[in-house]
Amino acid sequence: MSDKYAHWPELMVAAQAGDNKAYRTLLTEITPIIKAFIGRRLYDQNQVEDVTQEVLIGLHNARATYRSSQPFSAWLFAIARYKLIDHLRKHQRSTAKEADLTEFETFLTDGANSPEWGATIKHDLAYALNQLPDKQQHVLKLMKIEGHSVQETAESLGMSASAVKVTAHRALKTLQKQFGKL
Amino acid sequence: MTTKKTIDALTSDLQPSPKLAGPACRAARWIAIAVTFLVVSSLVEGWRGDWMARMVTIPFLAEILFTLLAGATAALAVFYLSVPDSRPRRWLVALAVAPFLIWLGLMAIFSFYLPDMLPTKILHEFTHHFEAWKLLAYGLLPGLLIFVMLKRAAPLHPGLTGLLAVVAITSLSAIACRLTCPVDDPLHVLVWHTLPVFLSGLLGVLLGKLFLKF
Repeated sequence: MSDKYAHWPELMVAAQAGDNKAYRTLLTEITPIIKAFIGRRLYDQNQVEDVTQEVLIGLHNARATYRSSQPFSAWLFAIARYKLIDHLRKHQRSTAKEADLTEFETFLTDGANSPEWGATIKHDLAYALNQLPDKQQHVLKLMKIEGHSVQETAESLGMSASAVKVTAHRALKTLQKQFGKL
Repeated sequence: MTTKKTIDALTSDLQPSPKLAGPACRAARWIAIAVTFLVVSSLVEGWRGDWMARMVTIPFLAEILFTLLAGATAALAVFYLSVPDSRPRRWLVALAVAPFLIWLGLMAIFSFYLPDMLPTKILHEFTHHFEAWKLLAYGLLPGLLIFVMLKRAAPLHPGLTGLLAVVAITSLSAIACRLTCPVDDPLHVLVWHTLPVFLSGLLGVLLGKLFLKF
């Protein structure tokens, strides 16, 4: 770490004593460093921003543990790495759930349109679809079975495009659960 | 919320945050409190009549010393692990695990070299003595204390921290159990004094992940 950051331990000690001006200077100066550290591992700028804020909050919660006898950068990057790994774990889990849903969506479309899978799948799909609220049924039938676009479905049902996307997502999730029970 | 707004929120109402004492100092404080509590509470229950005579026998003394060492090193490691630091700390975990493994090994050797070791005896031990509850009862208050102390810090490995914290608590509790329990059979000591420390350590991983995330 460059000499221009040599005053960070002093700023941290002042922050521990309640000096909010020193604390603001410290947080403002370390933010670009944290962003660069996170940015090397994440591509999505929104996620970089989110994790940077998580690191700042983590640093705030852990500020009593900093001791001036220990290297500030080792302390800071340990927190940054912890928050990054935590984020990646959570994100991996939600990505896996999304992947499951996409897989189910493909299965649903294939099942509805494949002549080989035909009768059994169509019968089961029809049963599961009938369990959904009317609006969700219409959206799914138009988009996934008849193959209309979001815009076409929105115009046909008099809904906004974003409402159609949300309804389709909810319907797919419900259907995925329902279909799992069959 | 943008990063700038986060900084504004964090700095606007900043209160002084007194530095935590060093890990060795906090570990020493916890060990002192835990040992005092365990000595007093086990004395209330009543130490075995022959404890002084047993203390001068090598196997008993070795067992007590390694149990104490396992508890103390686990406590030391856990307080070091509760401070963020990116330098490697593998030696800490090794330091905490080694005495415990020696203790476990000693008890296993003593047990399995018994001349009358039979499967029926092992079964009898499991079905006729249930003493793990004592270990948990002794460890409850020191356990709450160590978790509160760790929660005030910032453990970056909550699972490992939870495991070592529970090993520290139950190892020290195991000494209190040993001084109050009149049974010296190594199989009994292995099954009801040593193995519960190991098994509750696994529960510690879960507790750490639930309560020590920051």
